[in-house]
Amino acid sequence: MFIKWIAALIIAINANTRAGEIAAGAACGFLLALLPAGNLLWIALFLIFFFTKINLGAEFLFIALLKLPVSLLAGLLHGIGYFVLTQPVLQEIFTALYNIPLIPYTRFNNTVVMGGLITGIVLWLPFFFLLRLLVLLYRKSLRDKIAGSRLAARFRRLPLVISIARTAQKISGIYAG
Amino acid sequence: MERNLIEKKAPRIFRKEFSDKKFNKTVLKRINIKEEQAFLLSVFQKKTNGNYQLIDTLSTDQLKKLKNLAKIIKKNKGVIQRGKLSILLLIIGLIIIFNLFIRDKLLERAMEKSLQSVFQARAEIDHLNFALFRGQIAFQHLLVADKDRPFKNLFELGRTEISLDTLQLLKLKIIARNVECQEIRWNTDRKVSGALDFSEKEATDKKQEPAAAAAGEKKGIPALPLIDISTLLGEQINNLQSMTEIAEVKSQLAELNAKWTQSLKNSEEDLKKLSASVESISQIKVSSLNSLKDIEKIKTDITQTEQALKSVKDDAAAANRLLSSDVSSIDNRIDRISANIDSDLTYLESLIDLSSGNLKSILSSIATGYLQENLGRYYSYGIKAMSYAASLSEARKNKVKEPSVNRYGQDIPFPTTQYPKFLLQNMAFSIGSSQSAQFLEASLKNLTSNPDLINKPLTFSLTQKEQERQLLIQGEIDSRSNRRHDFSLIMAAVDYPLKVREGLELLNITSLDGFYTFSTDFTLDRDGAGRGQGVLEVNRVRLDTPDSRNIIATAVYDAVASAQVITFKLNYEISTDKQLHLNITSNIDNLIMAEISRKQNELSAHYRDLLKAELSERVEAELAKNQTLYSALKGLQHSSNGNLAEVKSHEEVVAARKEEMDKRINELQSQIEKQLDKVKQSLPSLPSF
Repeated sequence: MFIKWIAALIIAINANTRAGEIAAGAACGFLLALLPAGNLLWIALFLIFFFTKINLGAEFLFIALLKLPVSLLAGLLHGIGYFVLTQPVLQEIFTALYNIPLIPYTRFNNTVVMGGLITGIVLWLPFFFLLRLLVLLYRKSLRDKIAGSRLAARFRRLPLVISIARTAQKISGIYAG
Repeated sequence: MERNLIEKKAPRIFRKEFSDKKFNKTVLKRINIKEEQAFLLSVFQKKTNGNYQLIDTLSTDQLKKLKNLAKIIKKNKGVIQRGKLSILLLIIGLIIIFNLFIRDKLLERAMEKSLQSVFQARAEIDHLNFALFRGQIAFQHLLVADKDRPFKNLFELGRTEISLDTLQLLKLKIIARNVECQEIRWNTDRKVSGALDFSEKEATDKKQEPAAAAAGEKKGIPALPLIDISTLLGEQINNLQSMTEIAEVKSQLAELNAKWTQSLKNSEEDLKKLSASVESISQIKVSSLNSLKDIEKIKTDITQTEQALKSVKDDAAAANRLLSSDVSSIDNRIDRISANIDSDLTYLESLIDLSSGNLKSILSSIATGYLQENLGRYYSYGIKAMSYAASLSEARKNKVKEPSVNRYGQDIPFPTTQYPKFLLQNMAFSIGSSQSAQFLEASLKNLTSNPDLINKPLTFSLTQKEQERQLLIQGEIDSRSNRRHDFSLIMAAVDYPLKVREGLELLNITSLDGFYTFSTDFTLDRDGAGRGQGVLEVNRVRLDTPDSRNIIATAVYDAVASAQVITFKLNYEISTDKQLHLNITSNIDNLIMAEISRKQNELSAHYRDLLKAELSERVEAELAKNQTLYSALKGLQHSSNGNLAEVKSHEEVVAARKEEMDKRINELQSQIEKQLDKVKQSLPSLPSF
């Protein structure tokens, strides 16, 4: 599965997929990686992202890649979340939110969830722009060089890559050569 | 023509003219691969006006590529995946339509079908409302026909609702807001046949009569003694002053009679002797006496007779005085006998005391046993109900769980309504209709595993109506930490039949039937002690006709038969060691006591009359024996009086004769003196010496 996601991302980068889509997918993956799973907020965000035009492969890959490092930042996220959740000016809002049906299942009152959400929202745009820039740079500078290399040729001949490429072709009409 | 053909075959997105800016923005910028960008530039020509347009001649490969590129360009447009979103919106729309228009009807049909398959008879449900997210299912009416009797319903339900809090259910907490089923009825009529196929036996509803009371507390009633007056008198004869007095009077009379008979006899003999002398004196012709010597001699006899008469008179007077005194004393003693008879009667009456002693609360005593058993039973029901309610309670953890901080963070709590693990806010059901003769309604509120959290006690109520009978029970079981009472109950039962078969042997009756109305309120405190009060009214009482010889039973029967309503007021307490202390007062007790007193008085009066008659009879018999002696004594007294009178008359005679004698003597003396004077005168004068 992991390799599938990597392959899908490589194909997307090298195809006509918009750089914004790839970057958005990665940024959403980053946001979802920051949030602990198993709550309604994570599921809701995932569903929202599911219905937007982002690269799901990039999203899944970045969730998988960033999950472990993010868990090391639990303390920082807890601190941020605790700070936000204990702000007196926000207590009324949070209390009202907490008493809305289903909202408690988002676990927004958890410090790590809130910290991850705040951090993810704040860093989403920078991450998006960074990734978009990287993709554009890659497409501009590196893609042609790599595409012509023997490694790329071998990579393209991998059965997995072929199957993903065919699938991608059905959707995007990329030339698989 | 070729142009038209190309336009028809080329993707629509490429068929129009693009301005330079638009071409770059909408076409070139959406393609990232340079070769494909170059391809597009090759198949588009820039016109003189600066716009881009597809070239006229395109090969099949080029068209194919254009189609692929068109797809990529289309895909690279927008942010939202319209396809997926459309599908989602469609699904949501279908769900909404289904929920609004189809769901309830579908579910209604499904339930009717399943009921029909189970009961093999027509089933009808009206106004079913199923709200999944609200956790509610409700319907207004449900009926299932009886397959054996097509024009009867097997059962009918009125408004029924089950409502659960689904949000709390997700937290594994069962919060039932409302569970109710109203107007449950059986065997109602149908206008339309509901038969399908099979039979099912109709359950008969045998109503249990309230169990008859057990025996009342056995309390000893002193038996009223049956008194034999003759025996009593025979036993007490020696203690009777009157009889003693009569006997003494009798002996005294006998003595006196003997004594005075002899005395008077002697006196009469003396008198007899003197009578002869007096007789001879009275025959003396004083005028014929001319001799002083004779006269003196006679005077001497008269004087002697007079003295003898005086002596006899003195003796007779003394005897008469003494005899009169004796008679008088006898009279006094006879008078005392009457007084003694009265005091003896009083004494004898004291021996036939019919006071009833401890009969004051006879019916209350019987009622005590009955009520003790029933109240004890209700108390045990209450304790059981409390134990069931307590068993639902969660184990209250004293330790407050400190929120731990780990890589999963810390949950910051915000104020919200806390729910216990289990809560049944309202459960209600009713059987029959409130307008019908038979109706039962019951409800239970706030049954929960954590009463402190909801801060409400468990309340229950039951209302049953059956013809004229009504039963109402309302109560609450409080398991909260800050409760005042553990259990409280208000109960009223109106016009229930009463059948008492035990505990009545004290009254020599075997059954007591009637109808009662009972109301009570009771509270049980935290320490296990309880108290309550109540009123029990019994009316239309029927008792066995008792043995008329049993005064108590007869009195009870008369009092109860005459009373319209027998009212018992009770106060009861349950101590901490579960002992029930019951205090009952009754309006009938005074009636019974009055009746018993009346009967006792009658019996006492009867015994007194008997006693008086018997005593009088005996006294009269004894007195009759004394009467002869008394008459004899009186006769003696009369004789004594006669003797005295005779002596007096003799005295008078003698005195008269003596006077006559003295007169005669004086006459003779004067004659003699005259004669002497004459002689003197006739005689010469003698010389004087």
